[in-house]
Amino acid sequence: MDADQRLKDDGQDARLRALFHGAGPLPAPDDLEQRVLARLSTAPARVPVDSRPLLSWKAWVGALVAFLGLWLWAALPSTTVLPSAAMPEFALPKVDVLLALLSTPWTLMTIATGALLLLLDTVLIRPRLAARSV
Amino acid sequence: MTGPMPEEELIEAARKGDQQAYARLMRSYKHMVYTVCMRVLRNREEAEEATQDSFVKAYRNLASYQGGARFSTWLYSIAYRTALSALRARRTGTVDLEAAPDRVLAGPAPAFGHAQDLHAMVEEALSRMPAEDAALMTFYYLQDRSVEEIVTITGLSVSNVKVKLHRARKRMLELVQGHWKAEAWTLIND
Repeated sequence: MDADQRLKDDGQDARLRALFHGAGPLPAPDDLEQRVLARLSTAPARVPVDSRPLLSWKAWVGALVAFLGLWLWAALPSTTVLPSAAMPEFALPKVDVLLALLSTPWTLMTIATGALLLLLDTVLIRPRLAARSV
Repeated sequence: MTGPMPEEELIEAARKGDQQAYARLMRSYKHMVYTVCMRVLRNREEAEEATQDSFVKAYRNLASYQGGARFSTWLYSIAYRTALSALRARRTGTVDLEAAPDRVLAGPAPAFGHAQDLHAMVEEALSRMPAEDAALMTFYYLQDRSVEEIVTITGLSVSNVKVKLHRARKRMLELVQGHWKAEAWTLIND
């Protein structure tokens, strides 16, 4: 079987692979690493830094507990009657009023916008690949 | 005496700013990266420059390498795109990556008959193909990458990679079969 005939069989891929492997990669310059390191020394690598939120989750939980406590304290009937003249009127909204307030389009849009911004922030903070491929 | 560090440790060390660890990574991959750049650019100076650029980019973006793919795949992807950018920048306007070099149809291919010419033979055949096809052939036959990995590296679709590989493979076989015949396979078997 001559070479022409052998090319037509199923081993063409294997032969091409052998041809490429026989040739091997092209030799890069010996001092390539030094050249790259010299360039890197002028501009250090960007070391990843942990970016933490301004308010930790504990602060958010604390604020929520404080808000709920205040609201409950105001909503529960009090046995103590304070002289209205001495104390200013300070009443937090009742549940139905609060729900009505929260369900207005403006409030819903505010919440949605906030959630969208938080989502965007999370996506932007997430490490990405330099080459958009993997 | 310390043994060779695993690649993951070298990457992690380089990520923390250890340039010597990165130099060791470069030593492992520089020939392949240079080959990729050379296949696309076909110019030694430009390929060297693109290789350096690729390694600089890779180092500066090591933090974004998450280990989802092989490090080499990630690195070759950077090299391939860097070389393509350099190719586009070389000429004003757009570059048709599908276009074969002018000398594809020009003149007979030189004869090869010595083992040391195997390298030149492959280069000659690849130089007669479009740059993108030559790069795909390198990924597939020299670096033993799967079609899926080539898709990851190049950003081309699976069908596109398959079509280009098929075309390039056919062209390569035509060249070997038509011009060099037994010499190529004799050299391989030597």
